Amino acid sequence: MQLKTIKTQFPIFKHQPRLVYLDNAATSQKPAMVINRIKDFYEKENAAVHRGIYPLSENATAEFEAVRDKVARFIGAETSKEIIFTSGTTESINLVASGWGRKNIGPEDEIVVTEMEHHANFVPWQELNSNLKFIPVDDNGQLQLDQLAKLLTKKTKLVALTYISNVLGTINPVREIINQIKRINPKCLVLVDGAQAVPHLPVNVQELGCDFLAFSAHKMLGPTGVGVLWGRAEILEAMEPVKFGGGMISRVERGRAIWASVPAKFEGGTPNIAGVIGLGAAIDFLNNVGLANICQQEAQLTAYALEKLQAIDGIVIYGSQELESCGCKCGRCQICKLECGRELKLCKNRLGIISFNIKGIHAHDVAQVLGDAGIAVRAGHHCAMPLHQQLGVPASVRMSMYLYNSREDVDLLAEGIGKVQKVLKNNQ
Amino acid sequence: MNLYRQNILDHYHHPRNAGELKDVDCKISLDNPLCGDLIAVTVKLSGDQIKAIKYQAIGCAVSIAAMSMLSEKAKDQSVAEVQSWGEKEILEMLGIEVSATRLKCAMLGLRTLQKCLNK
Repeated sequence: MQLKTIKTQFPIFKHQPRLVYLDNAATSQKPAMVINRIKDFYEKENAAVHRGIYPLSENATAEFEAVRDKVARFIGAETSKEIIFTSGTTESINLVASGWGRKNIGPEDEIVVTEMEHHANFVPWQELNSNLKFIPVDDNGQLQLDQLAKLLTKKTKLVALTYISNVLGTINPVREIINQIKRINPKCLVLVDGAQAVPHLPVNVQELGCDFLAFSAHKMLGPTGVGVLWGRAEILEAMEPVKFGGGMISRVERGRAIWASVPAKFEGGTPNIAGVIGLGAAIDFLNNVGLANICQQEAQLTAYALEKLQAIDGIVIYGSQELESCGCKCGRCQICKLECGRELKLCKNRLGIISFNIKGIHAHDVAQVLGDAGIAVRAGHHCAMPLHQQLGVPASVRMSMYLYNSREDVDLLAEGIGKVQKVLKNNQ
Repeated sequence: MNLYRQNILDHYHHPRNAGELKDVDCKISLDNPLCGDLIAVTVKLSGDQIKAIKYQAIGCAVSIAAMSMLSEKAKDQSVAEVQSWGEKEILEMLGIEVSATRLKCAMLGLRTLQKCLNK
């Protein structure tokens, strides 16, 4: 599928023809295929799942469960019972913190996180246990992995880390990190925050070797209010439910209740049925384009954007700024899982996200002037205050790309930054 | 785009009454951790009247311009008068439309000044 064709499939760009949408790390736009699938479901197929013994409900159940299978295949899960539908990455991580953490993490135990975590993969652990240790981030936006051996002890029960930083765009070498963790402490579990990775590159939980993976539908062309927690079956089976009510029990008596088996045990209440079905359509769309293609195109666009931004006077860019040439045996091809067969200029260890500041101008003012010019970027701490403390700034401007973005969008952003400097620089 | 009108930019680039007063009646600083804006205000009173205001501000154009304009508007006003001001007065003073997200920036100066006068 060509880039031009892809963009035409997103109705928002018909209704907002001037929109330069570079806030994809916050949420992605939705293709007509996803919007129509949800509309169709409500118009023609709506019924509750798992209950009704009538064709409409049986069909809704089949459609809903088919998405579970689809998600399982999409991330390489062994079985679809390992897929739990939640409201998003935040709820997925909170489910692990409450359902697994409360039972398994004592006051003496330790949790290791990284300095680049989103608050969603930081605050739940802080709430659970005060013995948080941090894998530091260096000036180049990379995790200082030589610290790992020192940080991990026999008391470490969990390492929670992001696959791709939502601020720096850093792609963490998650597979190698997990290998190292399991070598040091085989009992330590690893949770990967996949919110910024699953939409952008092929992710396979078996290859990563993690124990939990959390991600959101709305960052991968799907609707808001749906997320996924994947966990190893044996861990999920031993985990406690955290939402009690209908749908999550196998039997209720006056004095006690017996939980349903996984995944139903964790899905109390009527789920977001249409949302889950929308996620299924989003996965179909992504599979049609191909995650590897998306990844490769985005990697090239990231490098183009980095070069373009680096040329701006007075810009400070955070994270890796190294450009590298990809031979076909390069690390990038490992990530895309695509033999590009030609020399591509790529950004080392960074995908899709670039955060920056313009000297002398507050991030909010930059984003406001850009916004008035039709360019949607994010300004603030991007729910990563500890990382911004480390960067030494309260806020930054973030541009984040996806499959419908083009070089033209990046050019317009660079032009827009010129406008920002003209409006706000003190020339008087 | 009227958020960065000339008078706003003028106050941003040349904030009036910037600095710090000595021997003050009240002194306080307040920040908006979400965007990192910080304003430190010092006030001298004469009875119930504001005689002088100085402040040090780090922040975006909206928060600094609003504080600068406020320092002029509040001078010689009674404490009770300044305490009665809210969003309406600040938006009238700025003369621009401010979105919900930027309202926090516009209001930081007044919130700091009012907290200072409370002490």
